[in-house]
Amino acid sequence: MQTISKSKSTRWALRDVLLLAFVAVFIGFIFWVLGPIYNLLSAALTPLGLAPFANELLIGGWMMAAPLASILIRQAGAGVLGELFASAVEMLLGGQWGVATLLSGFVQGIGSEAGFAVLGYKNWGWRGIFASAITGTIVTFIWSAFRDGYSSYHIGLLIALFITRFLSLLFFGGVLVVAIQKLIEKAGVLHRD
Amino acid sequence: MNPLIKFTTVMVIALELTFIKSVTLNVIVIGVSAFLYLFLKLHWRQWLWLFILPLLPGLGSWFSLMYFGTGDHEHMAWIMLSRVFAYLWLGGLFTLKLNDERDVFLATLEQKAKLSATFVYALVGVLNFMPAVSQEMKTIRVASQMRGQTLHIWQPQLYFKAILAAIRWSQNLAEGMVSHGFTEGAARTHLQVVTIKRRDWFLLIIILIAFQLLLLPNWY
Repeated sequence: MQTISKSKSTRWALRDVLLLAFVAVFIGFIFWVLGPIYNLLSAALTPLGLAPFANELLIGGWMMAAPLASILIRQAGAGVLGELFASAVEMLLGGQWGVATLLSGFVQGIGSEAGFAVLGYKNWGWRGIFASAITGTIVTFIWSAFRDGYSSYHIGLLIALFITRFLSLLFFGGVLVVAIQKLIEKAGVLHRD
Repeated sequence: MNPLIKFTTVMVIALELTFIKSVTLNVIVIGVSAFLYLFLKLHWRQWLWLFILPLLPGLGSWFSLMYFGTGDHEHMAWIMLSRVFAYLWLGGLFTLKLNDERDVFLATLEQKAKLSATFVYALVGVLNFMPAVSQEMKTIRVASQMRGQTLHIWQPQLYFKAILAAIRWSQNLAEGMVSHGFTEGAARTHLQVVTIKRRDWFLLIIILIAFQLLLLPNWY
């Protein structure tokens, strides 16, 4: 059982930071294992011109660290920090995107965190989680419009990409996170003082 | 060059590249990086890595922009292809040497960038746990297979078990760090004091100014 510090101060407690970091690493690891599958899928879709869909399908998984960190720590900034930790670990271990990982991680963290922020950091249940999936989709899509050249796509493809990303986030960042939260609550492994 | 200074330079340029639509500029960045790699004495595998890795995402974007783009999409397709290479070659200047420079990088973050010691040491601690994380994931999977269940990435049980391990380990590591004298928020002394040479600052400023000057011809 772990006690999460409930203080609303801006100072981060060591145990909270460590929990955040470990959760980020585990999530990162689970999806790092998917790397080869992602590459295969993306290679298969490349001649059809549909390679971005491989990215859209899995982005929800890469972004899971943020909502999980938020619901576990329940503090402003947890989502951004969780995602930053995940990307920092990936970068320090020599992930294929290098420094760009850190930039995307930061944007994804902000996107996911925005959902909880919109609800005033009061709702950590399914409402907050789904809000974060929605804001996460919008913010990262704007980022993709610049970074991945999405702004030059045909509107039909753009809508299809957006829907795919939204579904991915809805499942990994929404449905799955809610289910995980239920398991955690049932098991009673987190104690808030 | 101090790794943090290098990191800052690379990050600023990478961020700017995100918003600059210019093949010429991307090619210049790739060229300069390639020139610098000549001095870094890369292993042939690393060269291969630099050529092959960007190919997949680069061609992925290229094909989809060619097929489904609007407006000046052919130009954009070439921009994306060169941008993916520029990102990776630029970032590689930092990441390919990271294995040797990781400790200095983290120490600089703490001592010079004044990042809270809690975060830096948490990162150090967690990085050392990586082999254990990989082992734990195997254990979780095998343990459930023994009970005739296969855990897939779409099942919450898999994450729940990973989080249980994260909770347990973070608790243990926090206790371990405190019992070894780590005090949150306390001033620390350092066995190895990091200094950033004046030359490094000079290089940072020169490189960034030179890059901004490159933007002047308006080729984006």
